[in-house]
Amino acid sequence: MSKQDYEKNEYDDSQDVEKSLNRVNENIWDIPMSHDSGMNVPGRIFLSEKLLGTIDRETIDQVANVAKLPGILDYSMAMPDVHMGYGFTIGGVAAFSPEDGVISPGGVGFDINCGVRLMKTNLRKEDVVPHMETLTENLFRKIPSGVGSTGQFKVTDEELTQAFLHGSQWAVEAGYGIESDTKNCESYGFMEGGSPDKVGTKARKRGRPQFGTLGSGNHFLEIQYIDKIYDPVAAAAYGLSEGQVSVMIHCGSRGAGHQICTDHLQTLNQAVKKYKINVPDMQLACAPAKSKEAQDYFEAMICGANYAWANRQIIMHWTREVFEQFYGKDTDELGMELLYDVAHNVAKYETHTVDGLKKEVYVHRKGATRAFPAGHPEVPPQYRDVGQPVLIPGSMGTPSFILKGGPASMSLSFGSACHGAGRVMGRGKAKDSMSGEAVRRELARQGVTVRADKVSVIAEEAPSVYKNSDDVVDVVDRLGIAQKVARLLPIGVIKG
Amino acid sequence: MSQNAPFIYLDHVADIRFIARGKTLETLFENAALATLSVIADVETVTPVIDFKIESETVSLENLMVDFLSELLFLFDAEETVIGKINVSAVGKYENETGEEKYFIKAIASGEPIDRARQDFKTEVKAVTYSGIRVDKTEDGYETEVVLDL
Repeated sequence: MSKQDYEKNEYDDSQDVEKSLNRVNENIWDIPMSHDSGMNVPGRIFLSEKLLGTIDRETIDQVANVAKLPGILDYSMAMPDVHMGYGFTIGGVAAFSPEDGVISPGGVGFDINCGVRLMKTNLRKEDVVPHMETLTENLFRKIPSGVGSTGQFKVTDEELTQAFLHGSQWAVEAGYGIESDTKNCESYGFMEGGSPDKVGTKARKRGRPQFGTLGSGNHFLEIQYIDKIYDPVAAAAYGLSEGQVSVMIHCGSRGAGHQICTDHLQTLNQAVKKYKINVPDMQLACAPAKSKEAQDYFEAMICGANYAWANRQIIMHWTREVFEQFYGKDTDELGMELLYDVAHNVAKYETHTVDGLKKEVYVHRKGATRAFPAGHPEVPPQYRDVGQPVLIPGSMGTPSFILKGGPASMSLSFGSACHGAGRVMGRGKAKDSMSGEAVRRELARQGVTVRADKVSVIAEEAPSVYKNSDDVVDVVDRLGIAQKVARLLPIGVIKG
Repeated sequence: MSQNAPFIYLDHVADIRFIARGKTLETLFENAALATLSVIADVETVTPVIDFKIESETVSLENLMVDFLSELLFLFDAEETVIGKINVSAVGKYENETGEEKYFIKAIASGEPIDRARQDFKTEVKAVTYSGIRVDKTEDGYETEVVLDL
């Protein structure tokens, strides 16, 4: 897989792309302000020669568009897994000054706090491989997934409000988890400052039936084992060893988040006129960070983020139940402890150094993960000596990685790293060019059992439609933004 | 694209982009709705047994398109209903008391309750984006381009 050559994009605009980028060093490529009129800062893509062919003209234009937003600081950044999105690219990072900058839902996306969590176990690869068919089948039956699926339990309006306010912490208190779960989670499982009254009735109505569902598309639950340790000291601090089995859960805020974004985009679309902000794409609708419109969105977005943390918490709880039942042992005996949970679609108010001065800024990460280094006060105490665990899922059937926040992240990328492999082929083309059944058989040959709601989703999410996660991770590792700790290989996948 | 095709899909690396056409604004909105719904399900297999009234107004045709299509996604998730048929009775504009131009739509969306055992769903649509959206008058009608977030 690592030798995959990336196909040139359809219209082969590679020369055009190279002309638009200035190579700063082997892993940094800038888009100069001369690229387009109205850019307030340059663009910056963290990349490698190998991944250059994965970048198309539209992606560069989207990075440049974000650079046109008022009050953007340093650079409009993109991670090595970047690809074209809507408004922002997927893989985009942008920080804005609270005084003259903006908050934009376009920098977060519809799936607020789409993210990843990793649960450790003390099982070894050989304990699970012989039972993979049964385990994946049991997980598939237990955890609702796929288009139109609804949750096993119906939350009341009050429970939904609590989830909006307290995220994972609410879920654990409601019996869906253990105390250590929130200690091992970004922001301890919830963001403060959410206002459920900024969440509309429609978002509540969409979110309620979908609570505790995985969703479909690129969302998944994967059983993996650690096949390689790169950093024994960090691995020991994280409690990881070769051959150890883990479970990765990737999903977000479901219809609740999608509707929160939809509703507030409507308001912010009007706000750009009111505040006379010139946006190059309506999806970049925004408002001055301190305005009522921006703060209303931010407070609703926090509710969406908290819903997502509660959702992943509940799904992990059901995963534990499946393992407990199968092995006849409890969570403690099976060592089913959360390693960490990261958001990769979110905006946060954080302290960063800008022009040599400490400053509070709004960092937007859309398809990008926090990567706070050792010593950062927001890294939970148990990981503070090594840095925050950064979880990078591979595409289906390819390696995932655990990294640690690196020393360069605060100076280079507002404490951010990549979030995954990054698509290179659209879903339509994927379905036309291969059959889901053939991909499933090939993965089975490689020792990966896939249980999906529909066979077609296997083609849409086939490994070949993504960049290699190895290539992506190598870039952030070389830059010192986030450094490799361990590699995980999949053995069982549940797809919605 | 054929002049007669009500909609076509264009490849987009992560999401889906479609172009829909209609001789009138009403048929344009109907065809855009069918393009969106056809990403989720095979609309021809849906028996329309429940009706939902959709009435919406906003400041431009582009905003109206996003609001209208978003309503269909809302019905799928919140009402747990798959929509198979759309009847748009009016799309138009008027000036309100403060002199602002307002665009409005009146439509009926018809469908049936989600039954995963029987229906064959395709892909979840998370949202309707404003990215690169356009609603244009053409020589023989109207054309729209929309990106859906999958």
